[in-house]
Amino acid sequence: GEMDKPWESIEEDESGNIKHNKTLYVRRRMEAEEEERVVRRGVIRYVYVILDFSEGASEKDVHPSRHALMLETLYDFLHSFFDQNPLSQMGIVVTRDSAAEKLVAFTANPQALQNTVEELYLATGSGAPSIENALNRVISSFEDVPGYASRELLVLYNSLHSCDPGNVTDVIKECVERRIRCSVVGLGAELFILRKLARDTHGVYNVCLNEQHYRDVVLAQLTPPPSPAFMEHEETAELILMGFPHQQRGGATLCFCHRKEKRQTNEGYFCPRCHAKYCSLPTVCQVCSLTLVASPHLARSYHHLFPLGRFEQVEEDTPQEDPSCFGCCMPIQGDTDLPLRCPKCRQVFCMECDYFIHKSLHNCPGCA
Amino acid sequence: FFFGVMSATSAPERTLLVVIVDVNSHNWGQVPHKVTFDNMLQHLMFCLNAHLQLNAANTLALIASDHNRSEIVFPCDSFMPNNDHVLYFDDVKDAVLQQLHAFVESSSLAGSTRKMGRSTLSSALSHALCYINRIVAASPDTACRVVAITVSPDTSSQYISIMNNIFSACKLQVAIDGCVLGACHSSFLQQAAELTGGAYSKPTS
Repeated sequence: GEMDKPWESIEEDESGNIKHNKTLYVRRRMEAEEEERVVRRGVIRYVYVILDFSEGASEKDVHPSRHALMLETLYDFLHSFFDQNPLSQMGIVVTRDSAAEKLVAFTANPQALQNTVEELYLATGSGAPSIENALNRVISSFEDVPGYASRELLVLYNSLHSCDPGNVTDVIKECVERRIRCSVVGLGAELFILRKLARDTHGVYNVCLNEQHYRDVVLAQLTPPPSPAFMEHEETAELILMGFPHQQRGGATLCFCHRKEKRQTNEGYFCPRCHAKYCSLPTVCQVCSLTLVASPHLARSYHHLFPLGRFEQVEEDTPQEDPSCFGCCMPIQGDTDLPLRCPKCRQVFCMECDYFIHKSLHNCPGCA
Repeated sequence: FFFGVMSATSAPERTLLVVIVDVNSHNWGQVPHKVTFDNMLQHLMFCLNAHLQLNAANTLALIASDHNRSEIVFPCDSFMPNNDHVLYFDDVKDAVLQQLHAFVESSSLAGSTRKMGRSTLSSALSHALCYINRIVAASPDTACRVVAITVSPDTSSQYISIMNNIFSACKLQVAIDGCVLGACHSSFLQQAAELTGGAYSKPTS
């Protein structure tokens, strides 16, 4: 059939430099729309990632292979997940050979998860995936999760079939009862059973067209999902007990997080309730189960709860020579750049600043 | 390979220093130890001169912050930055002083006394980071630093904005230094310095 020719969409200006692609900008703005809504979100997330490591993972229809794409994207996802959701925990389950294996239980330590992903890179897919076994494996783990937390599953699926011992729909009903929100990202084609899983649990199901789409869809899961309507009526805890330890220095003492290695350090964080020592935050005290955090960790989630509104395109009826961007004071060249206006302070920004403001900064320089 | 690639920590080609100067006249009037705005400017000029001397490719930017607005005063329309252009301190000094003067002159004195005491630190930091983002996109081997010289106390409603600025600065690997000349400590700048690896100081004399 027709070959995709992305090089044909590149344009050059008089001096041979490549012109900025405005369609890229449009795509970015579409992403921003979803994140803009001010809704109640579960910021404390407990997420299990289910990886499909069956034969389907070795397919090479995406570059370099489905399994490589899945792991690369997961690696980046992990890295950003704890940055944007510092109070959350994640675990990894792998399904292959008609069975499911829990590789990492819920942890707030991104290093352990990254090490696992690196090891998986060397493994190969085999056998058939099993949705039922994978779901059964994780359902019991969600029992210990506190009531105020958001329970989620992210399934990265690469096959067109599933080998299940019993009735998958029963397991799906159990997920619904336990309020576990399952989202699926698939490669290949859409499966009815995965569509049912996502729909019944209020998750999203996407089947991806190419590598960039896959990446965008998985990274879209970084934003905490809006709390579904049923949670509004539940008696969720209004106040959550958390500890805010200060770093203290003293003599060399053992810490709880490295007790197997018997590591002694002079400084650490002491749990305000039981005075157990930990090397880093955030963590959950292993003695008294108190969540230990520092205030910047809470602040990292604020931009999800108070998102910045979208900037509007400036109307062309008042043509003037290139205006300057209010953010970086560089001129906005009319042919390659789009001026955008903040609805509150009415200042004009260039495309680059607009992207930076909405993706990273979450603050408008004009609205003091 | 993807997992093992660590960026080489080689010496940066050039350094960009962004200075945020608080020109809130209401708060400058209440500074203890008889430090005046002109004193501060003199010392600042020495530092800028030293910065530009350290490396021919070093650049700088200046942001002035008042009670209701903050703007990038240097580089300005008459002095746009150019990667090949070496900044000579003589040219820079005149432009900076002129622009600062114009900014202060144009600040409006209308408004209640309560509002006059506010600072727009979060807006100034946002400007600084937008500018840095633009410069780093053009020349990625630039090391960047932000120095904030303030006299105003913290405005607590800006907490969320300042935390967002700090996290963005961490991602861009920009250190934020704070120099507080006012009467009270600024916990915002203390946090900023700690989280971004900058320095915080409140001189006592």
